[in-house]
Amino acid sequence: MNRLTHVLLGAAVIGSLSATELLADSSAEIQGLEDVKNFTLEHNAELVTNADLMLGAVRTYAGIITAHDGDYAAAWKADGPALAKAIEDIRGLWLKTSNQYETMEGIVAGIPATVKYDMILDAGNPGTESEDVAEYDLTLPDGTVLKRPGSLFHHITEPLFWGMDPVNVIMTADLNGDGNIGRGEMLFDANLALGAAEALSYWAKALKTELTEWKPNRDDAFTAVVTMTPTVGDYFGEWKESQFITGDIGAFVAQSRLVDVQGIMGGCKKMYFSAISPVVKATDPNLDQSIRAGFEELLALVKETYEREYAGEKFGTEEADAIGNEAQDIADRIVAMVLQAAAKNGVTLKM
Amino acid sequence: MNTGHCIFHRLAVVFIGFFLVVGTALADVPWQNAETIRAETARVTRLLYRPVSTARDADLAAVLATIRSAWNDGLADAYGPDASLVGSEIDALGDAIATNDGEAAARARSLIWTGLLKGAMDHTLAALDAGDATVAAEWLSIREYARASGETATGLAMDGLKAGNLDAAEARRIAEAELLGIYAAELRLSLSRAADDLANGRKVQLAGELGRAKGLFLILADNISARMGPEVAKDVAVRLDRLNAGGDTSALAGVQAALASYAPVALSPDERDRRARLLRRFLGTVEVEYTKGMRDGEIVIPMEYHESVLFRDRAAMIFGDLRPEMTETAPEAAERMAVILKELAGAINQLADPQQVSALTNEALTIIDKTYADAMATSGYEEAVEALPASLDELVLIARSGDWAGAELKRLEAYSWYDPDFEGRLRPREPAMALRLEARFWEGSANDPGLGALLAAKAPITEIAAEVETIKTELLAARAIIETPLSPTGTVVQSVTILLREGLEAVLILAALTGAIAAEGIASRRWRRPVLAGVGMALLASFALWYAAGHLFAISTLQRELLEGTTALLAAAVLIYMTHTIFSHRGGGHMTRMRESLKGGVSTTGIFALAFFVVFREGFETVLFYEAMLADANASYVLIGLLIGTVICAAVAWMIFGMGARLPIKLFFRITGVLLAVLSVVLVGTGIRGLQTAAVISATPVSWFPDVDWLQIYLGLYPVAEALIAQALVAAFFIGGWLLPYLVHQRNPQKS
Repeated sequence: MNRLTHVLLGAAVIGSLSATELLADSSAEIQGLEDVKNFTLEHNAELVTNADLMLGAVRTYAGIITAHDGDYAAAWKADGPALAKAIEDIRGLWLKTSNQYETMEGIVAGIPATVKYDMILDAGNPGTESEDVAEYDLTLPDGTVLKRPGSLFHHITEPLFWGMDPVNVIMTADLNGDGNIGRGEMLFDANLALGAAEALSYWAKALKTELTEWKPNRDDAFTAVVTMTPTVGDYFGEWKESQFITGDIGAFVAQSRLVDVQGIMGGCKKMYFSAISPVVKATDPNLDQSIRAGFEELLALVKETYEREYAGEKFGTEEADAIGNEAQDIADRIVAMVLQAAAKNGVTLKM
Repeated sequence: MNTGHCIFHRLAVVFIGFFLVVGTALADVPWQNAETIRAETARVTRLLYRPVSTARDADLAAVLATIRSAWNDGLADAYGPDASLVGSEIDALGDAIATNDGEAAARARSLIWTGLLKGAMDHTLAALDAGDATVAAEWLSIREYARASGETATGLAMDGLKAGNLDAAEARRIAEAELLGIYAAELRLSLSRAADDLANGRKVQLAGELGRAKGLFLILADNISARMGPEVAKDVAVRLDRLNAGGDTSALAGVQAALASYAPVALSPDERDRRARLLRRFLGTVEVEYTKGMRDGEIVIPMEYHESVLFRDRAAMIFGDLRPEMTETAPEAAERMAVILKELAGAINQLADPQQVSALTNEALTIIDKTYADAMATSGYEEAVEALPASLDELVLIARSGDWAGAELKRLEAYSWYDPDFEGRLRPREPAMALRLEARFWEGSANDPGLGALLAAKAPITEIAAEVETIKTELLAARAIIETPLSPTGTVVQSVTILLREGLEAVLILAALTGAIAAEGIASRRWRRPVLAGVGMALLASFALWYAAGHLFAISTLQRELLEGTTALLAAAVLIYMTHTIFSHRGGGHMTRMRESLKGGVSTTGIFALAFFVVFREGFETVLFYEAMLADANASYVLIGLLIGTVICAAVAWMIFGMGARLPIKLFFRITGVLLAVLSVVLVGTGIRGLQTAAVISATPVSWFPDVDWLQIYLGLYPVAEALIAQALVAAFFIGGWLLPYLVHQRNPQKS
């Protein structure tokens, strides 16, 4: 075999290897995007299931009230244990439903086609605000229409079910039967609860329809990560504030804001690892490795902090502040690196 | 410094330089270890917040062992003697853990990381000096990234260097400028955070920020000394040492004041404008978020409040980049902006009335609008990058709703973003891609209809959406080409190419025509004046139109296409007339005909008109191309290219012109006659095409004609029926009116 033949054979082998690698990268990205979509759809299905179960529990609660012609005191007197059980079920199912959503929120809120559902379900403001309004009206069973009432999870159902909004607390009630009326021991407005639970079920299904039609693409994947990752600092900011609320029930009473952070960052990590990493790795493996390490570091910090909080540990003022700043710095670093990757791969960010 | 010291200093510099170059060339940089150290040292400071316990101390011991191992396992060797600071600070971290001193640990953590950054930057630049892109890229993995300005130039430059599109010296310049800019911004942030920590009694974080500020200063010290003077650098160093030694904290304000107008490199006009826009965006967001987050002196939505803090800090970082330039051009505005940003921080911190925050941000926005009016009014390509895909998405939505007229308007809007903002920068670099993308906005080809054709046919929405996606994908590829930095050689070559592509046609026409006239023995005074006057007037008109379009009135994309198409057709008409008149054998021999025609004023006017139209046709667009190129590239290299292009054009003109004296007159006339006839056909094709892209006449793609880039770029042969028919008619006119009689004449000269 002469030298020219060697060279040609070598070139052919290198060429086919490069082509194979390129094809593999491309197929890994396509598979990754599909994985993200499937992951989101799986959680969306769980969201729908739990929202329907919660609707069932709310119907039970509202049914008892209706059976007493809307007389809450009479209902409590006659069916107190059943009402207490219904409220306990509602709260448990609310947490499950909300957690399913939090797990996928990083993706839903980051995709331009589905961001409006994030506003309606979880993050949108009431129409009284100027920006980020949840664009929907809530029709209640008695025909009342609430114009742009804010997100279903955090503006309506959470304060309603835990009695944080006095307007919708109908009467106090010793739900746990310990002889005292503690925080959150009350009967809430069944009409609003039923309307909101039905709306949650409806919008969870509408989101599923939208996500089923969604064609995952590279731009959306990058945009989701760049948009959602920096919010970690905002959530830590809220968590920091909540650390020092001791007496009264403040916002986000149902569960720590760190649960939201874990869900959102988990979604961002899923998006990066599955759909974006194959693209970045092909052009800059070191950058890919650094971004992956950044996500691992950030999620480890969030997890560790949540576990400490869950175990009842108290954080000092400076420590809470330092943890929040640390999380923000890591998130900033991740986003700056993803922006590098976007520039290298000619990605258009829809921001 | 005495002689001995000088020699020693030089030897040391040579030794360190040698070590860096040889070391980097040999090094397999274990940059992941640096990442491990960054993350684990942060963990140490977090663990030290916790109360002492056996479990905590065990964790700390394990983390310290990981840090030491990461440093000793390859990283220390790769850094070499340049990184002795890192080793000693790791020891200091160990001491801090042993004494449970959170402040000392936070300081050591910062100095370790900034020490790693400094060494990595030195090695990166040394590798680039040695032309080693691979090693430089490895070292570049240890760095900070621009968190506020989002710069990506270095990453792209490294790709350009590896691909051979950029030379190492230019890549080094880009990398050094970006890294210094980032570290200067981080230094300002650290000083600002330190001031905040000081005010709020956060001792551990204060120690960490002061350590970071000192470490960042060490990276920037030489540059600060060069830019601000050695006295300032020395003063800052002394103050930072005092602060880190736990001394007088009032020194912090002194450091901030000393570095207030420091910028490591001068910003380019593009970078300055981009930052001005970012500053405006961040400040606008501060007001929105703060107003949403506050009610009656209380934080009602902590997330929004937190965002207002974050965006104010971002605004301050960006202002830090802008301030030196702003101080030179608008000192009072710069001074006031600094005060506003400080007052804004105070107002947000004290939970002031949102109206107070609004008043401050509004004043700041007014200052930006006044100081950077041009940057706010237009952002050209960057604006197009954002607006074009959005316009295309809207087009699909409008078409989906069945509003075909609205969708068509949106298509024209999208096209006006493409041309000139994209096309102006793409065409000098990739003319074929520019042409294909343009066709996609219009009729496309017979097998692959473009957006215009699809909308006209009210095609299924899936086809329109697919075409939009294809355009967006091709725009991404175009962006990758446009945004890759140009090397000096690339700049020169592209500058030459623009002039040859846009100007050679005019040169060929005028040289062939005047060569033919001169060859006939017609005195040069008869034709030189109209040619020079026509060319001169056309150049003047091109620049006048360029100026007027920028300052006096707006000229839309379609109007520009119409102008180009019309002048091409006018030039073609004059050329066809003159070529036919001069070279036709009907009515006598060519010499007789030529002399007769030149006796009349028509020919002189014709020569002037021809010279004017052929130059003006491409003149305005050529000016636009050079304007776009100057936005991306070094003006000197553009000028060199322009000069080389001019020399080549002159040489071609001289060659054709000179052929008249060297070749037999008949042969010369045949050559120039055919050349001018071919150029007439070319002009007709480009003229018709111009009218089609101006939406004046329709375009019908044909499948039987080859869809080949070079045919379109150099011969004006597009696979569209209207242009081809017009060109065929012109060709037939020449063949029927000139070639056939010529052949008959050759066969039967007596009769003829």
